[in-house]
Amino acid sequence: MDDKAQQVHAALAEIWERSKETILGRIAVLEQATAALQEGALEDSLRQQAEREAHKLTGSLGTFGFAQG
Amino acid sequence: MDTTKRILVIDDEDDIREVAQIGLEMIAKWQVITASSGDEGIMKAKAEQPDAILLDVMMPDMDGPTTFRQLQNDPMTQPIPVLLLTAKVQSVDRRQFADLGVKGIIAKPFDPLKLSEEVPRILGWNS
Repeated sequence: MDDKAQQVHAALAEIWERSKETILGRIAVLEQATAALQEGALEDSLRQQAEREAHKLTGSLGTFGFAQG
Repeated sequence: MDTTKRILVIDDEDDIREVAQIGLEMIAKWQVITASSGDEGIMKAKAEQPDAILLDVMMPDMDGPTTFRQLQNDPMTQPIPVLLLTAKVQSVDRRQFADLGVKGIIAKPFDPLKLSEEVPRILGWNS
């Protein structure tokens, strides 16, 4: 890995540390929606929120190098 | 020849804005301006006249397509090429976005190490 790439990876690691809490919050919404769905009680508002969070997670996690769930 | 570009990144997610900024500034040595909403992006596009705009599709309040239409309706910002940033990359989505008149689409997740290659490739800045 060249110097530039190393610098970028170091900077990404810093951003990841700062973003982890937000990302874990998004995952919690998905878990909440999954539980509600299994209980047959998934409301539209939570479903829509879960869709938004899943969309955001797709972009964020992959950009940080987590290509697979 | 001055090859320094000024790019406006409009995205409501702090981490995505920062990652894009790092990729473009550290790798390509371009100047990056950021905005966290469509409204702020339009204001900065008018004031800063960037060489290109990277615009997130899914944002609260004013989404990417609405922001793009407003940019197109203003003679000050109409000529600025816009690339959409989106995780919606199915063919039906791509067609809808292409119909808007954007210059291209950058799929999320993107590789920050390659973003500064992808932008000029799509916009024909290499030729």
